[in-house]
Amino acid sequence: MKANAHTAILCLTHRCNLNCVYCFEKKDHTHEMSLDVAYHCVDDIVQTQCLRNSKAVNLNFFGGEPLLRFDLIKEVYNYVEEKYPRFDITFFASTNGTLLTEEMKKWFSLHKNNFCLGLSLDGAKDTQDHNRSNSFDLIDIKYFVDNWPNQYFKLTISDYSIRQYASDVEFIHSLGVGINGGDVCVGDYSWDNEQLYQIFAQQLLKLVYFYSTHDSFKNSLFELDLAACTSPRRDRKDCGCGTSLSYYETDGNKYPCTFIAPMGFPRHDLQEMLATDFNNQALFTDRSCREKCYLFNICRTCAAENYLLNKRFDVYNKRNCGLKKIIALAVAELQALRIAKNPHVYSDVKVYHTIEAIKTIKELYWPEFGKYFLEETENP
Amino acid sequence: MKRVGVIYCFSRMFNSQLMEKLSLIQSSVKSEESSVYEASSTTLCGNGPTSCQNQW
Repeated sequence: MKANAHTAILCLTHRCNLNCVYCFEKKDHTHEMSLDVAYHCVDDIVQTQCLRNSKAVNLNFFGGEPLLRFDLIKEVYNYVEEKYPRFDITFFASTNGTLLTEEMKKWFSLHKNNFCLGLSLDGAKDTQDHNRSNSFDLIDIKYFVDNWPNQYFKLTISDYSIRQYASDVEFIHSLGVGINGGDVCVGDYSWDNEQLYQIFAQQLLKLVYFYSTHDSFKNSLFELDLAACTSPRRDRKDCGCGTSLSYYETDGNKYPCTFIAPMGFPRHDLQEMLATDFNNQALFTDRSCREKCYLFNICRTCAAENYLLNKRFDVYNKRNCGLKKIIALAVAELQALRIAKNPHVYSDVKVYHTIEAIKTIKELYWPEFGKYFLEETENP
Repeated sequence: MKRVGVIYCFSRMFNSQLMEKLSLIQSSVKSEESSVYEASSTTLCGNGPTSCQNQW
């Protein structure tokens, strides 16, 4: 995906052949995007983004499982290629990978230069089968690695797989790919208890030492820019919902993101949310966090999730604060090791401020959360 | 017979040797102390934050 491009998501179907343990979507068989609606959405995207805003567009096919509508994917692709050849539009579909036929593989391989398939894979067989409906053996993982070697796999953590997160991450890296591995805190269970803190911290610790000797492997969970903690705190909106992101439901209606949509909220909540000015960062800023929290500038927070919990965008979900501080400690240790190994890993200004942040994170959070990283050893 | 027990020891994290080395490195770039760090982008705006279930 191109940085700074507008991401436009088309929901082709609500149907899915899997039933993942953390899935929030209401699956049904009554919502399908028609060809006419899909064309209308593409026209709107080109009009609003390419023409009015001179933006490149990532056109993202979403579901349900989008490959259930391979017919529509091909039609939309051909429509864009024929009608809008001069615009910078690239294609993406996130998939569970279980439905790829030989015909699909040939088609996607033929168009892989501007069409990327992103695979959701939670780890090795045990994890994948538990989280994602016994699907491990149905996926031709090598096909994805061979065709899109730079595309990260999407790894989501459940309360089951959190116990083997490190080995799942290492499994995926052993395939030669990076990981978008930060989908923690999703699903219908509590993530703010000490038992999970302990389990997750131990997994992160294993990965800290793994990554400290494997610099080339990428995991988005560890790619926090700690130096940004030292910058002045300004109002900020953490994601692109309603600004650099738009979502088209199967009926063609446009929403700010996949969550702030009928699948995620009842109609009366949605109406109130849609009246918000999504360009106004102040409306998405939790004042108490901005004033008090050292991690504010790097805090990854979901606007929709905040609204779901608090009926407001400007009150963050604070149930994940403990986990975020544990993640910050792990990232601080990893970046400390990297800088110690190679002081020129970043620019001088970034090195200075990263070290400042490492020291502050240790000082602020180690006394309360360090105990979760304690290692168990045998006493001979 | 060897008695086997389980103890907890302090983690290797943030050990004093590592922190001392960082301080030395930071001193070597002390000229940057007064600079304000500007993050290019702290989030994956548009591609969604990590906590977003649907974006990459």
